[in-house]
Amino acid sequence: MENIYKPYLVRIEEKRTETYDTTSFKLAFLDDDMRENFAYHAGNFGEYSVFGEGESTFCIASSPTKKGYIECCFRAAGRLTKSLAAKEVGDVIGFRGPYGNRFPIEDYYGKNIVFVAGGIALPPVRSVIWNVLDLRDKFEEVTIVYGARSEADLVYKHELKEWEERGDVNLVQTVDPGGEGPDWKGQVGFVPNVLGEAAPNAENGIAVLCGPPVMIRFTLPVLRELGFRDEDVWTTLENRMKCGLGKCGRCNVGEIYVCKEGPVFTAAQVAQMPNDF
Amino acid sequence: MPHMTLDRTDLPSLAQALAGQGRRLVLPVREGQELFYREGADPAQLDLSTIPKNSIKEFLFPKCEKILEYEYSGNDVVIEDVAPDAKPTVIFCARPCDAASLPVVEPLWNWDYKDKFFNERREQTLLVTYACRTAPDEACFCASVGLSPSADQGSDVMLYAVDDATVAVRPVSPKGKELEEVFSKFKKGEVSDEALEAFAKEGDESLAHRKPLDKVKGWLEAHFEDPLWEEKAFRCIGCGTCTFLCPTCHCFDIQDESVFDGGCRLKNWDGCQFPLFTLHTSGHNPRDTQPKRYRQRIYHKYAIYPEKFGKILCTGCGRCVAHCPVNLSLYDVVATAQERAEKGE
Repeated sequence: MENIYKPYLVRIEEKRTETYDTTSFKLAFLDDDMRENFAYHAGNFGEYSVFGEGESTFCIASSPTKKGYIECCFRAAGRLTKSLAAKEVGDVIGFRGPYGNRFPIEDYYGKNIVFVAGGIALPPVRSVIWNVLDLRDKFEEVTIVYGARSEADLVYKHELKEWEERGDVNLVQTVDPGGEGPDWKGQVGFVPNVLGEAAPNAENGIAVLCGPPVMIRFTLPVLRELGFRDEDVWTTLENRMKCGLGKCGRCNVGEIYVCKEGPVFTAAQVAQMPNDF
Repeated sequence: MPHMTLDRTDLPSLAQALAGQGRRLVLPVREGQELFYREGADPAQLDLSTIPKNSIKEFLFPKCEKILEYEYSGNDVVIEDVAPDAKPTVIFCARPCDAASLPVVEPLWNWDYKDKFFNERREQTLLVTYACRTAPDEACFCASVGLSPSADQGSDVMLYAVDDATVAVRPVSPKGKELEEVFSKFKKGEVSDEALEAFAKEGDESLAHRKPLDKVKGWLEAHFEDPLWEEKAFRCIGCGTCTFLCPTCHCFDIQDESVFDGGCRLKNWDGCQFPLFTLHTSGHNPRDTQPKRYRQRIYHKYAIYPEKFGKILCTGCGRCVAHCPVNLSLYDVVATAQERAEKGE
């Protein structure tokens, strides 16, 4: 019988220091067959392991439209993420996945789409962004509102530049008041306010939202005011996980196992959940 | 249909005979003031005076189990798959509440992803269950969760001590029926169906004071924010004894242990009563107070698990009631929920 806890081996092909405490990796499966055929969807997550240290849970930050590798982005905050951040190009780590449900990209075809992300929550949204941009013709207006506490806290800065230069994406960047440097050209203000001013088209619109709880709390009313229905606002929840397989018993919110029935939910679904997250 | 009987004094020899077929033997023995199911114990020490303190869980889902081994040197990592230590095993004289825990947790270990560590052990385990003539402990409440002192769920063979000297044998599963030959060597007589019915009736009567808990799920679903949780969990010290002694609590942690050139990954028992269980790396904890953690345990057992898998995650063994260091009774809590539901509160 198969061992569901056994990770695949992946090699770090690229390592980028995104911020003072955040690192991203491009990972390639050692196994040729896995490298060719590994399939996943935007929204799926995985368990990343440093052998001898343990496993940690985060989303796959790359888009399934990109083949041959996966990417992840994490903040060095705990024991595992600190040891993961110490790994270098060429090092081998473990990966289990893909797990969880996904963003139903096909349902967004033909719609206006706005991405709203705060700080370290860009990586899960980035998977959907690239998925959309790689199939750009299938969507109408694309707006990205991304904010962080300060310039230093923005991740994927080189891609922000790329999105900014594209004519088919409306990128709005913002930092919290006081977080701007002398050369900052973006907005200054909190994500919910900046989103309100950017006023993306809610007509035939979808919103993909991810960020710290406080940002979510203040962004939802703004989206409603702009005319987005809760059924059209999609987010990804996080909870502490160990197995990722619906067995270890800690990630549930009421009867919802975030690892299996999530992590992707609509704002309407989240509103139905008990206050346990 | 008549059922064969054997002498009660032959039970140790029967245990030995079942183990003699290349099985490891687990049976209840006395250690100091209490009984424990122990592997490799002397069958002559078999003690059936009451319900053991531990459940049979540890023989199917060990407290600490290796799930992976690996070696590394520079950038070469080699993962060794690990086979569960699933030797043929007979659990002799398990209590019905323990045997019944297996069909309760099986769907959890098998929804989508199949956990071979539990499954292979389960496959190799033979359950010879010793029915309770009457509830052996004042904390017992199996009758409240759809079971009974003579329930045969999860068992391969049932043993009924129909009187002080005589034990009736009833195979339940195909695996149990295959053992007829071993049992028949100890055959001394027969009893009728009526004798087993009378036995079961006596057991049921011993728990007549227990409430059905059929309305608990509905009540819980409407009372997540009820003051009951603060009130009941006020004295909970979060020690987790209830989760470890519970035959159906199955939550676990995954941890690595390493030496300089390799190591292993372990699946360890964990419990929802500990603050670390749900603590995010960011410092956020969705269940940051003991009432929230206590509520989670009740909800998982009586609302969430039944909703997901159609079974209450509790067999009424009463261990969490009997061994709670602050006398916080799960039964009292769910019985309160039932009462309030009955009163329409």
